[in-house]
Parts: sequence; C-alpha cells; structure tokens
Amino acid sequence: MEILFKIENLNLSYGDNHVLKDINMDLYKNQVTAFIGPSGCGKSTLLRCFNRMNDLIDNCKINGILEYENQDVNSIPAMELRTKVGMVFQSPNPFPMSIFDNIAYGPRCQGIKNKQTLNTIVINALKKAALYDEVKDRLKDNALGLSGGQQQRLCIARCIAMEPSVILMDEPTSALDPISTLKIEELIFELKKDYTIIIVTHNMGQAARVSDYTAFFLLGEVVEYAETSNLFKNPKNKKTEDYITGRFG
Amino acid sequence: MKFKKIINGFLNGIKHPVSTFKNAVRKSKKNSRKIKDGIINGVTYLFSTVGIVILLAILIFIFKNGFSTLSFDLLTDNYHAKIYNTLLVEDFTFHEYEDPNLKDVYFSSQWGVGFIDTLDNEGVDIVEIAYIDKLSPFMNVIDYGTHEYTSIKVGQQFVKAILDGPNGEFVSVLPKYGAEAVAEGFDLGVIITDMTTSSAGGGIRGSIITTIYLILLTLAIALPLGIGAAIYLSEYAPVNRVTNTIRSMIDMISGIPSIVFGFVGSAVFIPFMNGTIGSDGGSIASGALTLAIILLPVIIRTTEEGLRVVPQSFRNASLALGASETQTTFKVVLPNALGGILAAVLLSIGRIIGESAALIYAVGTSIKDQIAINQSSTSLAVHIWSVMAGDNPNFELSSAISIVILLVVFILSTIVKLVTKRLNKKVEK
Repeated sequence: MEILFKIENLNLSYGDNHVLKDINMDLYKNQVTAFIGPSGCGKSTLLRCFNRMNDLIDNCKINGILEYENQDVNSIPAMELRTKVGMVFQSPNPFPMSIFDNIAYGPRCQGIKNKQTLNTIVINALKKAALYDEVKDRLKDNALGLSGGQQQRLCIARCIAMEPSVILMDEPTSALDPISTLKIEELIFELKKDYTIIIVTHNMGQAARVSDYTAFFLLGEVVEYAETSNLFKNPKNKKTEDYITGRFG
Repeated sequence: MKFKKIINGFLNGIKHPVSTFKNAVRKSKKNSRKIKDGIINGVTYLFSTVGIVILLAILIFIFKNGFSTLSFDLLTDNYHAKIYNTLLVEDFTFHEYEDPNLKDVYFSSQWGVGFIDTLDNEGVDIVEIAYIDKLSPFMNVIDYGTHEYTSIKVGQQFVKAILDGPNGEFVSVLPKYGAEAVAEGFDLGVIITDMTTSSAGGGIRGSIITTIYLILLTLAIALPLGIGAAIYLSEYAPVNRVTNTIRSMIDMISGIPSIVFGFVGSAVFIPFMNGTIGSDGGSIASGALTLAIILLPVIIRTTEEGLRVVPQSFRNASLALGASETQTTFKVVLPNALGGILAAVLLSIGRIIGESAALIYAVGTSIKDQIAINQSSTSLAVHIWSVMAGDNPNFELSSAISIVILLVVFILSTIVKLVTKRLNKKVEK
C-alpha cells in the first residue's frame, strides 16, 4: 500500500505543554484511518499537523519529520497544502452565505470566476456529499437554514469542491443526532473510494464501522496502531483493551 | 389574643428552651435582613426615579420651548432674510378682487392682497403676505436694486410701504400695528411709491446642509482609516507590548475633551486647508478633518469589537479551504462584522451632529446660507451656540434646533439597534 503521510519522531508542544511525544506512524493512501483516545490525548492536534492548521496557534513548536507524498509539509506552502488536504471541523461551520456561495468559496479563492465552471463544481461536490437532492431547489438560500446534519454534509461538500486527496475529519459527528451521524458514516464509506480519510472520533463504534486502520492515543503517544479489525479483536496492549472495552476514558 | 400568644410563647420557651431560642434568633435575623433589603431597594428606587425625572424634565423643557417654533419652514428657510425693495410697473391696472375669506387673513380689496399676523422662525411678531390675487398689481413689480421684473410672493414678510392716496395724501404702512391695520392702510392708497418685503429669515437650512457636509466628509476620511486600523489590530497585529500600548492609547484618546482636538485641529488643519483648498480661516474641510481625528478611536474600537465577535470557526473554515489570510479577512470576516461597522458609522454620525466645542474653532460660528466646503459656517449644534451666545439668548429657537438634533439621533440609534439585531440574528441562526 502506498504511504501518504510519513511521520517520524514527531514532537509538538504548546509553550511548556508537551502535547505530542515521539509519534511514529505511516498513513496509507485511500484508506480510512481513525484516531481514538480519551480527550486531551493529542489526536486532534496531530490531525491539525497534516494541513498545518497548528501554524495559526502562537507558541506552537513542532519537531520531527512529517512528510506528505515524500515531501516535508513545511516545504509546501500552507495554502497549497490545504487545497490538497481538506478539513471538516467538529461542529458544522458553514459561512453565513448561500449554499452555492459556501461551496464556491474555495474555488473562487483560487481565482475561478467562470460561472459555468463554478456551477459544475458546486453540483458535483453536492452530489458527492449526498446533499444535492435535498438542496437542489434552494441553492441560493442561506446555508444556516439547513439542519445540523445537512450543514455538516455541506461542509464536506465544500471540502470536496477543492478536489483534495485527503479529507481530515475532526469528530465530524459529535454535534449531530444519530440519524445524521449514520448519514455521515455512509458518506465516509462512499468517499473512501476517491479520498484518503483521517477521522478523529470519540465513538469507538464509529471507528470500528468506518475505518480500515485505527490508532489509539494516550497522553500524547500512539499506544497502538493497527488494522481496525485486529485492533478491536485482539488488542496487543493492555491499555488499548481497557479503553475499547470501556474500562476508562 | 396577642396576650395569649405571648403567654403561649413563654410557656413554650420553658418547655423547649433550645429550639425556641434558635427560632427567635432565626426570626430576628430574618427581620433585620428584610429591613436592610428594604432600605437598599428603597434607595435604588429613589435614585433611579430622580435620574429619570431629571432626564424627563430636560426633555419636557426642550419640547415645551421649542415645539411652537419648530416648523417645516424653520428647516428650509435661510438664516439671513433677503430684502426686496420693489416698485409697481407704470401701466398697472386695478381689477375687482374677491376676498378669498381665509381664516385670520385681512384682505385689501383695493390691491387684492391678504395679510396675516404670524411669528417668524425666531419667534418675533411679523405680518406676512398670505394671499395675492392672480390679477393683483403685486404679481408684476420691478425690483429696485436689479431693475428686473419680479413678483411679490406669498410667504414673504411685509416690512414697510409708502402709498399715495387718491387726493395726493401720503400713506405710510408699517407692520407694527398688525395685519388688520396693514390691510386698511393699503386700502387708503392708489399708488405704491415704495414697498419693502423680505423673505423669511432665521431658518436653519444652512446649518442643516453644513451638518450633512460634515457627516459625509468626516466619514469619508475617518471610516477607511478607522476600519483599516481596526482590521490591522484585530486580524494581523501580534499580541505584544507594542500593540497593547497602541490599544490603550486609542482608549485614552477617546477620553480627551473635544475642545482640545478643536484647538489643536484648528492650529494644524486651518493653515493646511488655507494652503491647499484656498479657504480663509475655519472651513467645513478643516472641521471634517478635526472631527475625523475625534472619531477615529470610536470607529477603531467599535469595528474591532465587531471583528472580534466573528466566530473563529469561520476563519478556520476559510483557511482550511486554502484561502489566504487576506482573502479570509475580506471575504469572510469583514462581511460578518458589518453590524459592528454599521454601529461605528451611526455612533460617529451621532457624535458629529452633537459635537460643538471642536467645531467652534475649526468651522466657525457665523451662521451662513451659502454653504461651501472651503467656507466657514455652523453645524446645528454650533447654531445653537451662536443663537445663545449673543445679548438676547433665544431659548425657543435653541430648543427647536435641539428637537431636530434629538429626533435625528433617536432615529439613527433606532436604526442601529434594528440593523445590529438583524445582522446578529443572521450570524447566530
């Protein structure tokens, strides 16, 4: 399998707070990788390293190697990297503009002005995010009028519109009801044909359902990283077992 | 009954000494707290009542004094009355004129003209021309000064007239005896040898126009500077000692009395404007520059507040889509901070309308009718100052102008509230 992200001895600290400790792992292309672990274990922080969102945080120090397609992420301009590595956030955060403008925002920022092109991009993205049928008659309506689940799928569509190769998802369903969660999970299943997906989740069932690989984080370290079926059936580490069986966390 | 209760209480006390004591303590504590709360609440109510009564009294004073003077004419008339000296054309003819029987109008059937007693914009008794028949000689007269054909117009103030009677006698008509006497005086004459009328004066048209100019010019200068500074401080500036010092300086500047800006501004901007746009002394342009400086802190802080409340998640979403920081600021953050910017604009307009001390130096105090940006004139607030500063302070006119100012500020603040409410709703939804 092709390695997409290569992480070697990655250390990250916010000021004096050492958040990530000697992370070593390879993430594979066109696979869904889930990061699980208790709150504050650094899984979201690692996720934000992939598209350099940590750059925005003052006094954040990163040491070690993080390569995207054999290229150091810091050598790729952040804006360019973020068009290839898209991100979906914890709570749906559509812009307070129309559904169309939300999805066209990214392409427009890249300088695409042609209406026909934008139209195609928007419709394709909505179709891929399984939202098109629900909103096709009201593309001009404000996106904030959509339900939470629809808003999150809109955010996924907005991300897809940039034609990234990776989609990072930071607890994408934690603010959603069970039915919306199910829809997003189905969507992830569809999307993994075309995209590499890295998902942070608190829901172990979700990790088991949607991911191919799972990494268990604890206190800034990767305790165990393996194929999902292996990790959940025979965890090698006692801590992993305790966590997935719900004994702590 | 009461006596029985006390006896019972006493007996109870002997039977259960401890619990009775505790109950008594609790009761007395409860009572003293009640009294304390009562006093505190009473004082609060008293103070708030006094405050509200004072504010209401000021409003009532202004409306009572100014309401009768306030009229549409006051808003549209010039301050300086224009005097018309006129002569009749030589070949004028008399006709039969019908009295239109208007209320309070005294009609001169000889000349076909009606007069009415009224007050001018400054509250002085005058006689006004209320009606002119279409065929009246007044419709076709010669202006003494310009030698041009013109007509006397309804609404002009009657100043004086000298007529010749049918037997060559001399009739002088003056407005001081009222409209009835004026009409009768005119009926005695057959030829008008000299007549003076004037347009209504004492209006605040010039000051209204000056105020509008000041608002537009000041905002045109201060908004780009202020919003730019706010964007820098909120979006780009690093949080360190320097920017924190700048922030506290801005806060400090907004506390400086405006008269300080007035004389500093006039010392700097009046010579500058004299040199660049050829003004002579204070002008609207130098006033607008001074006001812009006064308003900068308000605009910067209000806009910065507006930018700050834009959710961080919008910025993250935009950046994660590969947008640059500049694109994020101008396409996502700024449009969502419109509420704050609008609040800044309307607050500024309120300040401009209300500012007087700074403008006394920078724009001037002599009331004008012909308004130009490189000329001195008065804003509405300074108009009040000018009216009150003379030997005969005019409370009625000042109150009327105050009502105009109050109404404008009230309307603006209502708009601010409505719009910010709407914009906030849009973001929160």
